[in-house]
Amino acid sequence: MNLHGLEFPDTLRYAPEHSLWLREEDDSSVTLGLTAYGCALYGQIFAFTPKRVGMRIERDRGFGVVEFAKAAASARSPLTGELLAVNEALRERPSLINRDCYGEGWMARLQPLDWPAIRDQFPQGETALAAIAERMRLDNFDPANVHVQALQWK
Amino acid sequence: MHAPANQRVLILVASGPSTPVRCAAPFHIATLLACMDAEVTLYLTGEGTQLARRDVAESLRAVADGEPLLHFIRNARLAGARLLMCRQPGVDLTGIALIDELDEISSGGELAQMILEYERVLTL
Repeated sequence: MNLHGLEFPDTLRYAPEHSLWLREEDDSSVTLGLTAYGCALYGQIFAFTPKRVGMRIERDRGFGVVEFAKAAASARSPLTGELLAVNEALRERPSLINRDCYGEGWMARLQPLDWPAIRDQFPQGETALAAIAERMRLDNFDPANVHVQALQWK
Repeated sequence: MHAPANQRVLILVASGPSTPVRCAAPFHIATLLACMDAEVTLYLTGEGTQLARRDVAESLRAVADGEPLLHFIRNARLAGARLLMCRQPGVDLTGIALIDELDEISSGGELAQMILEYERVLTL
């Protein structure tokens, strides 16, 4: 799936308000990462500092801090759960988020409190694409001028 | 690494226009701390009070081609940090344009109380 030249794999679920993708793992944990839209808003990412593994993360609270050009923002979790793992490779190479946001640039893995009950809150496919498009509209996203908007995003 | 919920950090900003290279760091640190869920208060004191002047905040740069200080102040505010400025006896603020990002002009007594109550106090 593609929107304004940004790729959104249709195999993933999305949290449009958080600019994150979610992937359900075989062990019922959920992997999180920044979407291509989030990457476009942030621009070049210089650091990702996650919280400690084992911490309980509440919905809408930060699971880490992203530092990008001239600013920083909290990476907020779209769900409540225990932080099972963080992508250690990002400590040395945070640019992996920009280069491969759906692969090597994954950010964290959480064990949700009740994933089956909340799974459908995170859309897939065309429903997800429509929700992301609406998010872009609310953000007044201009694909031709993304770096200015990154500094207004919070 | 991350603050327990509601951990409070007070940052005394004593640097001012005479040391521009030191002026952005307090606000960037405040931004990071706020992103880590700390409750952050920036308190401009001494020469740091000059940073609340709009003309200073809009023009002072820590590095020659960098963003003006106001950019860093806004980032800290967006992240959730509170910005206070010391009310200096004998200093008349009439006619001086202050930045909109300033939350409050506060007394030395209120500062002293925060120093005693907050979990962390930094001076930058």
